[in-house]
Amino acid sequence: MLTALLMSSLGACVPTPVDGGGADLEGQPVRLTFLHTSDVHSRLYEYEFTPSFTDTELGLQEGLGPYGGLAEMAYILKRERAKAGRVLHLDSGDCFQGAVVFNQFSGEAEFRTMSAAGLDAAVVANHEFDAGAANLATQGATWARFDLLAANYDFADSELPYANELEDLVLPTGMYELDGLRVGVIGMGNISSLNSIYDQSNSMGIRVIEPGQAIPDEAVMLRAEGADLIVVLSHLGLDEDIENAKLYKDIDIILGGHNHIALDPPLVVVNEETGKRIPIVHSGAFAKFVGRLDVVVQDGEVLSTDYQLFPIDGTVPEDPEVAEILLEYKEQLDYDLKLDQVIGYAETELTRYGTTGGDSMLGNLTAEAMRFYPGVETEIALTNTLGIRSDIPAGDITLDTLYNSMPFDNTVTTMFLSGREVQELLDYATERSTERGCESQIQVAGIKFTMNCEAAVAEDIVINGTPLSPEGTYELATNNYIAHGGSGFEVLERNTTQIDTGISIRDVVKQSISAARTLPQKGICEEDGRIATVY
Amino acid sequence: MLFLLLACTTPTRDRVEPSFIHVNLADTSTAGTAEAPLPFSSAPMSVAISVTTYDVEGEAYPFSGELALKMRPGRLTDPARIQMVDGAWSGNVSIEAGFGPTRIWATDEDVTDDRTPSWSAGVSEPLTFALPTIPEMQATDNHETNQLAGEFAELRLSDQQVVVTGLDPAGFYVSDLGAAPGNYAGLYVYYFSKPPEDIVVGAQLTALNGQDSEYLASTQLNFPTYAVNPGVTLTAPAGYVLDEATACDDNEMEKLEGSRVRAELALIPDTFTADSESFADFLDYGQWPVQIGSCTVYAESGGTVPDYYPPDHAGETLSFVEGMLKEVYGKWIFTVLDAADIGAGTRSRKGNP
Repeated sequence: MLTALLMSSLGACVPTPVDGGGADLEGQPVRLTFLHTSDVHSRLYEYEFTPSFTDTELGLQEGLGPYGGLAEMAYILKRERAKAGRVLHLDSGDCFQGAVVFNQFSGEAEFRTMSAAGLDAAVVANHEFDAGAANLATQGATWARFDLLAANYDFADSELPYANELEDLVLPTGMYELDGLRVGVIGMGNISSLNSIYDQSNSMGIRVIEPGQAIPDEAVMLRAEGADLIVVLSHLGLDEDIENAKLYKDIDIILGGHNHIALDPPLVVVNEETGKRIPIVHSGAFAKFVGRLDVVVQDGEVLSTDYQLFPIDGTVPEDPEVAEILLEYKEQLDYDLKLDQVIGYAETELTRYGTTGGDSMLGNLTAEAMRFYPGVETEIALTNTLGIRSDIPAGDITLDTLYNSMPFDNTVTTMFLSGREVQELLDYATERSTERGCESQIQVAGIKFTMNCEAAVAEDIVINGTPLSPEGTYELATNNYIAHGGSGFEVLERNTTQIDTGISIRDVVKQSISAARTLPQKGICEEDGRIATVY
Repeated sequence: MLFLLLACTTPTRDRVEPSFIHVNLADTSTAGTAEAPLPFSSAPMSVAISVTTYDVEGEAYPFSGELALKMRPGRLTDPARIQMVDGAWSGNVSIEAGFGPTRIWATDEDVTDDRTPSWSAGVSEPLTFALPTIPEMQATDNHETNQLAGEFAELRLSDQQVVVTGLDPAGFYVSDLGAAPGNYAGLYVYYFSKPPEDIVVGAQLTALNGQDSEYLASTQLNFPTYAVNPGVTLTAPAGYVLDEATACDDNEMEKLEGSRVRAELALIPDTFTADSESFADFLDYGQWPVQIGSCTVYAESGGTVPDYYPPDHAGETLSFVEGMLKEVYGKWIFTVLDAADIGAGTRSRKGNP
């Protein structure tokens, strides 16, 4: 029932018009449906995992795997689109990065399948830049049959060669006319996790426009063009979504992402100036859910909202169109990488988070593998917990499983740290973990310490059985992401002794699993309390 | 690089009527207002409504067929469907657990008759209910749920005194000082991370909203929004002393969920040994058994008081132990927040006159 997409430079698909033209909506209650997805993170193929308690509460039942998958997601999206009159499918970004299909095809498969699923618009988020800004420009121009939005990224000032392409490709807003109802959508890309913005070199060439400028300015323009509703399509994260709903009076609805959470039902935040009640919708991650928000609008006012969250499990059929596209990539992946090859066996689920908030099975496995890998061989190792993206289910460990757990193409970097710097490093990690419920944000090898979240300091640090010496020197293996200051690890970033070995951390872990054959074993892939937590 | 250009298709749809659905309360004067809201209640309430249908031109449309009814937020329990005749229906509907501004929906969807629905919807004028207080939200006959489970809960704090009673690494506890002790006054607020700096024990909250969840059978608000009354410090209530009758009754314990509780002269059973069944929960969660008369509850101190090793104290009677009460499917656990919440233990001289 959509009649036109305006402001699109790409000739995106013109959605279904209604025979007979637009309706006169003045004084009438009008139903509008948003289909919402977010943070797909390249989970285009179904995968196994153990649903958490929260997943289960949200409808993703244990034993109904495999879960996720774009063909299954597309089936639900098309089914729900067919069960709606005025409907928009909006995605809150980060469809790139998280499975091997991205490592091999750089986002092409993601944009193709999201297009085939009927996506109308997506916000450009931080992981869309993971293979570089030039790659985003190429993939977007070639494959995206939907609008890419970000009102807070400005490429116009950049002298980089692809700046013009991105400036044309990434629109600040979209206006969607739905049988007489005009919906203005403002894209808000992520700022906090896009590290390049803060680098002196600003390698992506992005000038950030603050939400306090971008949202009101764009809203005024959209209203002037006749928008009945203003939707913010966001990848800023929930805290910023809440703040924006409170502060900016033109917002009617926020569809958000970045935190990988599903809010069912959505949050409601009251705007401080108007008293308007703003729904904030987050619809999960990793292709586990599709959200559907129905609103009844009258003369530009949202009167009421209703939300449903559809889990994507093994009972959901495939959409044949998307499945056919995926098959092409699957065949190529199997030919190139032999993803089904079994590299080890997990006797139990191997988890990325520890039961006490400290060290974890996969964290210990990874850090130990880094430390002892031939050519690395350092005294200590440290990697960020979020570099491990998912648990490894019990059973055969395939290469595909490993890619899902460790999708990033990070390499091992070595460097020398003084004892004081090790203390500073662990203090920073503790402080960061304190902000996240005393859940350790690092995993280590050769180090034993207590993460005191009450005082936000690292205590009782022992290096390979000996208390940390402030005057000592220690060789560290870490990943090149945090070595470059990712996640705020400045103590690593400023180190001048860094050597990037070029050794893939995923290959290091693969070798370790293959050598062990079965996990966990005593001393391998076990929680052993090397990171104790006090709170 | 794989290459296949996607084809865009733009089929047209025939318009299906009714295009618009109007839902009206029979009597808006009794619908409540922001200043004089209807009372919050989980008891069923009858409301008279009328439903009419219109075509795309805004003219009355003589639609005959089924429409579905629901209410947001809250529950419409009866009827789930109505049969429209010549574009009209009127009658009573039964609703419950509405809070804040809520509206009744009529939708043309999921029809059971043989036709294509229009997917249109209309909503009534708002029915405005009072927001529930913490005790009103918490009170139910079922200790594994609460009145707003599954809703985005908006609580009434403006005329209450709600105080922060404790902090943990991922959230905080609040208590409504206006509620009778041991009467659904407490609530846990899950913040995901260390609570922000303005959330301290004694801080008064003037607003608190969040997603209402029963996490392992304990009520908690997730993804909260809140407001603190600046400069005001209230006294957090002392721990509610558990007696045997309370400790042995799930429904009585439910009234204390989220509150600070205190067990006096509590025995750590001498059977709490490394090979006992409950020892696994100590290793995994830092939980250890405490006997109050004939009933066993559990204290949890692994992360908060790591130096306290309960197996060393098996067989001791503690002068007291305090914590914040939660339920894990019928197992009552109080989370000890500080070393000072565990009193000294003494051993009985059984068999040694």
